[in-house]
Amino acid sequence: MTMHSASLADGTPYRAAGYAPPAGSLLAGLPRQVVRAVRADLPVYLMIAAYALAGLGWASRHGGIDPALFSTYLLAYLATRWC
Amino acid sequence: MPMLTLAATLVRVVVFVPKRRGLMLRMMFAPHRLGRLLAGCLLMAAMAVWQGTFTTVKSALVTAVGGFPADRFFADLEAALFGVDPWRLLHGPSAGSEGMLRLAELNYGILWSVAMMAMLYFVATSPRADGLRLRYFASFILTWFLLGNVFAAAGMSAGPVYFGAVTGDTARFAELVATLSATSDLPFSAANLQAYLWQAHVGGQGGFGTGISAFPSLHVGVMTLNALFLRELDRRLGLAAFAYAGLIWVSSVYLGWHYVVDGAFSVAVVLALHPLLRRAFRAARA
Repeated sequence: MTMHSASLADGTPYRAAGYAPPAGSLLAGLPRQVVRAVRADLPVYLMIAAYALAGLGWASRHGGIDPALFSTYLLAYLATRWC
Repeated sequence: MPMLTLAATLVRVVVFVPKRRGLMLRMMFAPHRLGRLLAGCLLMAAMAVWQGTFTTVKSALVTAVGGFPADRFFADLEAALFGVDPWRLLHGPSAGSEGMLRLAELNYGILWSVAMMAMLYFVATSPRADGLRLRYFASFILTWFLLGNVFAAAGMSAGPVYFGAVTGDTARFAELVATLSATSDLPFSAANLQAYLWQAHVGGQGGFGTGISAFPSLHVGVMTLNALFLRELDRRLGLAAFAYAGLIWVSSVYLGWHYVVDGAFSVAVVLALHPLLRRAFRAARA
């Protein structure tokens, strides 16, 4: 059995289920899949943006925001994603 | 986390898949999965913006509220419920055990962070979590907002280890502070972290995880939330996650970070929020 004739338990071919790459390069079709996945996540980005706007707006009215401090937080938390 | 997953995937294929490794690798790195992985990594990076905002708000809350007025109320409440300050009940059986203290510190300080990030990473990047992703992130963000901002402002307290500093009564939890100092020369000790947070608070400095507020416990709230979602994926995994959330609750009191009521309130809020969001998402989909 070759890759292209393999199928999932319910009989759906791997390629039709999105699990197998199109013939040719492994990376073919990847940009389209990334765009599709990011679009599906849009509500989360909206929640993050809404919280950031409301939260930073509130903080600026209660003592102000130190840009250097906020950058420190951002860098510290970004580092946790990759370290 | 992405590097760790990549390494684990390769080891899994090489060690546990004796035949057709090429097919397995092509399946694992198919555009569908890689697309989700890259989008998930982007989402995790965006969460840093949310987390940076959360820490900014958390730090500003103390100024807005005017200090930590609720510590005495929570300490008296739990002492009335248990007949004694509960940390004494927990330290009683293991009095003087540096090993137990060390285990609790490493679990609470490090393993908890790894568990939180691993769950976020799994939900953000795994196709298995496709049906849960939006609801999990909505629950996660709402839990942090409600527990860490709204309710924290309503019951602003610093926690047992800071009780002396915020109330002037240094005697009440002095023994707890002295017990915790046994490991202060070791990395990631609770005593060192508590000193770091207090110095950052007093000096108005920012950094990783800064901002002090005990009520309600986000450590307990987040692990309860994870347990509820894991139970939807795998019943046994969910039960283990609930046990872990319980352990975190006990550790939070053992290490002097929280009063018992901090964890109890968090569990109640998360348990109430979970079915509400589930219903709301189901209705939105219908």
